[in-house]
Amino acid sequence: MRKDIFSSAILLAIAGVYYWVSTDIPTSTLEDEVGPRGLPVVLAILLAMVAVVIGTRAFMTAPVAGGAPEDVEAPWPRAMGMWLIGAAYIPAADFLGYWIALLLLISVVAFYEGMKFSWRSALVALGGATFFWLLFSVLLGVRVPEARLFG
Amino acid sequence: MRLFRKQFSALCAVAAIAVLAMPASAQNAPQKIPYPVKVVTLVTHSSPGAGSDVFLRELVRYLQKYVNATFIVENDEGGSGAKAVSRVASARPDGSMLYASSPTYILTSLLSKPANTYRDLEPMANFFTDSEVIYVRAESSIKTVKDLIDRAKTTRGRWGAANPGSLERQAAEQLKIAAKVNAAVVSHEGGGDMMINVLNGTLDMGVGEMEEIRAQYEAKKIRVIATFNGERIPALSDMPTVKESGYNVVLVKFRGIAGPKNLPPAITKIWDDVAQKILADPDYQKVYNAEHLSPHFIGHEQYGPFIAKFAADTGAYLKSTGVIR
Amino acid sequence: MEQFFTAVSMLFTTWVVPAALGGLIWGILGGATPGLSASITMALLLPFTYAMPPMPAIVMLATCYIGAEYGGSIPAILIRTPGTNASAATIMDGYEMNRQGRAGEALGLSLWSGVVGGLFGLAMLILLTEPLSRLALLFKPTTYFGLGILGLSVIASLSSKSLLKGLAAALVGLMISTIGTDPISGVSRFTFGAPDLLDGIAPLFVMVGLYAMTELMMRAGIMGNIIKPNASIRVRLPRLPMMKKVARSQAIGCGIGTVEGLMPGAGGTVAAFIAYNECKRWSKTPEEFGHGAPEGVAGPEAANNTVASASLIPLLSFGIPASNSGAVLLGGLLIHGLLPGPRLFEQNSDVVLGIYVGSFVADIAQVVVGAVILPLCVWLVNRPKPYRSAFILALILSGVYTVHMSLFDVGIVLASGMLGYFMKYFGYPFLPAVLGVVLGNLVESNYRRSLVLSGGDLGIFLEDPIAIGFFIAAALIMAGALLAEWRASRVRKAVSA
Repeated sequence: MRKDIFSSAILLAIAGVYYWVSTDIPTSTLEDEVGPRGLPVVLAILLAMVAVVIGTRAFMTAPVAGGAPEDVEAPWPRAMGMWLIGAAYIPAADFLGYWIALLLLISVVAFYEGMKFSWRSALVALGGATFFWLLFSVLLGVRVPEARLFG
Repeated sequence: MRLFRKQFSALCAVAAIAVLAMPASAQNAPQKIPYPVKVVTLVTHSSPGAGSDVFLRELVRYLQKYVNATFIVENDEGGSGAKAVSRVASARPDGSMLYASSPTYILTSLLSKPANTYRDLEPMANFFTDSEVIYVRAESSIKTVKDLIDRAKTTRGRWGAANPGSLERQAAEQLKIAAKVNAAVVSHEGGGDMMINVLNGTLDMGVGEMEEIRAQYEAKKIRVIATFNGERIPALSDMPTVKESGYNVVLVKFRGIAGPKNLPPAITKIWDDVAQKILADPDYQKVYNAEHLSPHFIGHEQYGPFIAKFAADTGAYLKSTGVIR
Repeated sequence: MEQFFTAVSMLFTTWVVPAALGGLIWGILGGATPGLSASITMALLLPFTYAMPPMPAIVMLATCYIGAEYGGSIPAILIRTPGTNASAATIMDGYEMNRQGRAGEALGLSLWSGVVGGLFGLAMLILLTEPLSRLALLFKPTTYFGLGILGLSVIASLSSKSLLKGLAAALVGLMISTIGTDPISGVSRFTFGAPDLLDGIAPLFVMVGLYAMTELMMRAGIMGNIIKPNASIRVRLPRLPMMKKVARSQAIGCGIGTVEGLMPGAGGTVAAFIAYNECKRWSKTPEEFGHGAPEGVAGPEAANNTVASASLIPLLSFGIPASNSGAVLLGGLLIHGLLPGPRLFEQNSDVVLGIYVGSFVADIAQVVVGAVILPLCVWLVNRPKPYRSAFILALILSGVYTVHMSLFDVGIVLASGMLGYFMKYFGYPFLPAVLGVVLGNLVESNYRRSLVLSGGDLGIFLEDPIAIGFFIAAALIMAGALLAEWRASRVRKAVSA
């Protein structure tokens, strides 16, 4: 139940920040009675209320011993690592271009997931990057990110 | 249109195909104007099939007829036009990359803080004004602008405009002020749901582009009672303007071409020339009249001040209503 | 009768069959690519149709829509990534079936339901365009508000474990939907000056982030396959007993899909979720839902495939697109100089007939095309896990970029993935958040629009009989969910006592 207390605190923070940013919405003469801030304010208040209820409930109920564990989950640092690889793709695509960024992405993820570097894995990454490039750039005619580094 | 805008954009090498399919009249075509580059990319922020895109693809057919270059239309949709503007603003100023300008790029510049704004582009030439009209459903007793205003005085008027931040909304609001009535102006998301609300009588009238409402117009499900254009629409010459009806509200939804800054005068001159020639082309006239586009040529010299004034007016309107600070 | 013979001769004398097959295959592939929704898949196809004669061009676009609505279910089932907005509802039971080693069965079910829904929608289009288009004219802002409330009420019955947490998730989803230009006054909300946010955050990005990105994070580095290896990569169409079992869900899906197809702006997503909820309610075994119930795949899939054809009714009869996909099709018609509306049926009857014939061909051909590509897809997802994760990530990041050609959107997907990770970690359900994002704008804008029309009088909602119907349905759903929750808590107490 500690998770619930923690999450209720996060929700309260979200509600607070959301409300605070909503004060920045300009008021306009084109507005209706509800106005652009109407719904955001209601949402912020409701979320705060729900958060408080979740939190107090968590305090009051005794911790349930050994809730049925869900599926096997990765420890959080490992999950964040996966996320960071995804995030690194954005600057990579911007600077190195689509094909190279994909090549890196596929190799790094495969390695991160436990595949040892080998000729085979290098070939898979090469083939994968080329396949996606053909699919998106050539077949679908998408203007994929171009390398700023070489441009 | 939000519906359209929500979609995506693609590079389309179709212009080349369109050229192959050009009518045989190209044989007796006039001498083509030489152009400094071989391939010209026209960038639009609208997605394939949407307003600006359809307009450009048609235009390209006739550009091809008069100019010795290949024209390609590319859709670059992200950020409500911000991406397309940035792309053209940072292109080499040699006439090889141009932007299909419409009020959208000014609105985006005013409503948000994009990397490049309309000030980073050089307005080159205007081709058309969209025909903005007031339309009512066929069964409606409203026949003139005066009827509309009288209705709004006696009952609570219900007027429709396509998008919240659109020029149509602006026109409706200004008409309200000019006529001193307190009608409810209901903005929608795209012309589609507004059309349904006009047809089922939820709204007294809608403000929209002739091009968008053509289907209902030709099927006689709706009537158009006046245009917000400065002059009457050539194809509908017996319909008055709103201004003629006694309310000084004029809406100019322009369609033209802009390029990167520091374009050499030789290139802007070519476009001044081309724009006039194309608008006079009889085949093209047939096409654009059928779509109720009003030809409205503005050359390079006046186009800059025109855009600046448009931006200033729109900015002032947005500030006065509090939409921006 | 004469029309029928013209239609048959069309099969052999025109380009309608190749166009329909081409559109279908393109649509399935595009729909199956996460990020490429039906409308984007069609927009990518549009340029290729410019040079064609009008009839095959329009047929190709219409069948592409059919293919894409079906194709979206493939990644939903196989990699927990909705290929299109509407397929998000299919994830719940489709992916669960996959985890149990029943991928072939789930894919066969969605294929079969796609065919049923497609044919039903087509029958509506051919036989009932006239009366249904009159029905479409009755929808007002109040009606849309009612529909939105009905959609939101589903949250109550689908937040399986904790109503409170479901509510919190829904509120966060609604908050995301308020980002962008305010629908009534046009001021910017929560955009921080970024032009990329002016049009709001596309629900699809949030869905791809929540489902696919989060799944990749949760399973990072875990070699044990959570998916039971599929004994066979064969895709099995349901046999007769199964067909009978899911027939009721499909009927529910078809009915809901038809109504939603008529409502501009609502689209297939709402239809799929409401259908899922109704299938669960009317099922003999509601407890199986969420644990691999075949009806949970059949209902939503029948619904969103019905929408693909039914949404052509307002488009062809008024020229009003009922969805983004409809808007692209409208663009296609305009580019070929065809003006949708009542006169299209008189002046360009060949195009209309072509759409009928082409859609029919595409609906039937789905089975054949599916039989060819589905085993390949199953084989692909059965590759070693490191490669599979790498390719899924590469696929979603590339697909999402395609929507606006913007790396900003890739960032939105990653942010949604992070949000999803925390939600999962703290035990908050995704579904209410997704519904919040999808419905927020619909509910808010139509509520406010209605009040502008009435001058602030709430009575306007009671003047619209269809809206009242939606409200009542919503109230019933919520009451049912509360009752179920109350019963469950009593059972728990009785057990612990």
